[in-house]
Amino acid sequence: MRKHLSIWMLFVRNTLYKVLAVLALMVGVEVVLFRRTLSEYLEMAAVSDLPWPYSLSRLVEDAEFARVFIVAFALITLILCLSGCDFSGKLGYTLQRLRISPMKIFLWQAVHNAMVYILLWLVQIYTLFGCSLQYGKVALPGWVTNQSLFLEVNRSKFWYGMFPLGNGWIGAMQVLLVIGLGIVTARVPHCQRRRKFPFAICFYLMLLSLVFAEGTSNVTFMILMTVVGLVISVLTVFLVHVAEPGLDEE
Amino acid sequence: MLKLNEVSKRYGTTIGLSDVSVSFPRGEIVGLFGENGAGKSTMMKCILNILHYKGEITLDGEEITRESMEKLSFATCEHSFFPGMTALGHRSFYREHFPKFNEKRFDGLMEFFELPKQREIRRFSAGQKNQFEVILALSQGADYILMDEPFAGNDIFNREDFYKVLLGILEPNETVILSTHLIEEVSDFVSRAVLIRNGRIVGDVTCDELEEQGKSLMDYIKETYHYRADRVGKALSNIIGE
Repeated sequence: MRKHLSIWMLFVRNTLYKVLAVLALMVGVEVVLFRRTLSEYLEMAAVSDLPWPYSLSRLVEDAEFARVFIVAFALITLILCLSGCDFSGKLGYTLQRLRISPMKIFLWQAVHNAMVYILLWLVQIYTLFGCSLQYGKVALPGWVTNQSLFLEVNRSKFWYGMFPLGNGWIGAMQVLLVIGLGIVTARVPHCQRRRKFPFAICFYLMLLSLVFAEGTSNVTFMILMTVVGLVISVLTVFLVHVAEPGLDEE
Repeated sequence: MLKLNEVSKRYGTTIGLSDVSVSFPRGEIVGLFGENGAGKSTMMKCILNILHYKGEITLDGEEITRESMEKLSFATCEHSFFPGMTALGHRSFYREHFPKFNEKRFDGLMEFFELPKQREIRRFSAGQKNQFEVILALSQGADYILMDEPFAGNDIFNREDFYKVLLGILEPNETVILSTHLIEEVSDFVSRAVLIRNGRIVGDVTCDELEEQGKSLMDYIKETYHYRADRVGKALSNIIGE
């Protein structure tokens, strides 16, 4: 087991600081944008006819949370895809010589990558919660209650996509999506070390990065992306399993 | 013994190796010589299962498996270490994955070459990276140490130090297969020379045999390659027009 954990730690060591930096940047930018948008709303509320005209869902949209998340998602995907590539050296030669098979190395990288995506999701959820608490504090007392905040969470497309309360099957699909993402991102360095380029996977990841935040609450899109991701994942695992030993194509 | 039996490798239509049969007993220091593209690196990568090949390669009479792979180590000018890891990180990793990893040898060589232990390898200079690559190969605890032009780009003093250290630390049962262009530098310490040309073994001689014949390694290689000493003179006279 220690050998396997050392493989997992190899990937952790390679990506940890970069991932944390991206997450910190994402949180920083989102908080700054949220506060700026909130202060603009407070100024507008002062001259508005309504006691409290601006909803949390609109605030989350106007603060561009979705776009910031997409950028963070794309950066993290890039970091994970490049981790384990041998651009500056041939680390594949060493991995090839270990007792642990290429399949197990690949699976450990997939596990690591899935965990990174879960971390991204958790950080985003906590940031949203933190911002909503901030909103609850400055909003007009009595006008915005815990119940209305809860309803706003469900009204925000982005928020609902991140945290689909009461909708277990969207949550289940997101879990499958994360597993699929872990597998497909692990395939990229696996292919690169063998001088192959995974066109289908890269196209899928680009598409997902571009429309992720919109897509998580768009049920049809979610189903499509999850199914495509699962098909690619199953095919990927099969291809890695049946691959000949060695780093070249026959 | 490491044995290759009619090993062939093609890169599309290009021949990498063609029916190569050679064996390397324990305890030899073998110089593997040949021009660029001759098949030296290809042979080593086939032994290490990095490349697919046809034919048979056995280690101590058996097919090379994932378990027996630890008897082989590899140092290459392409660098097979993990760039983002420190030397100490490599030490822990190798200790975990190669049961016979020699920590004493590793620490000693790190000290000898004065390499920093806490710095990421990607921040080493080119020469330091070469040295570290060799240190890993020598410390793995392997019986067969394959080195593919390990000191390409290092200065003469570095190389001289390496040759002396290599001779000093090797155990009697350790075999080194060293691929290099620096024939004159290694001729004093290799015990055997294997010549490759266009994917085929064209020469295989021990230094004792050369000594009996009164030939130097360079003479033997020139003879085997049919090197024409007058070729340069003729070409110059054509170019200059004298």
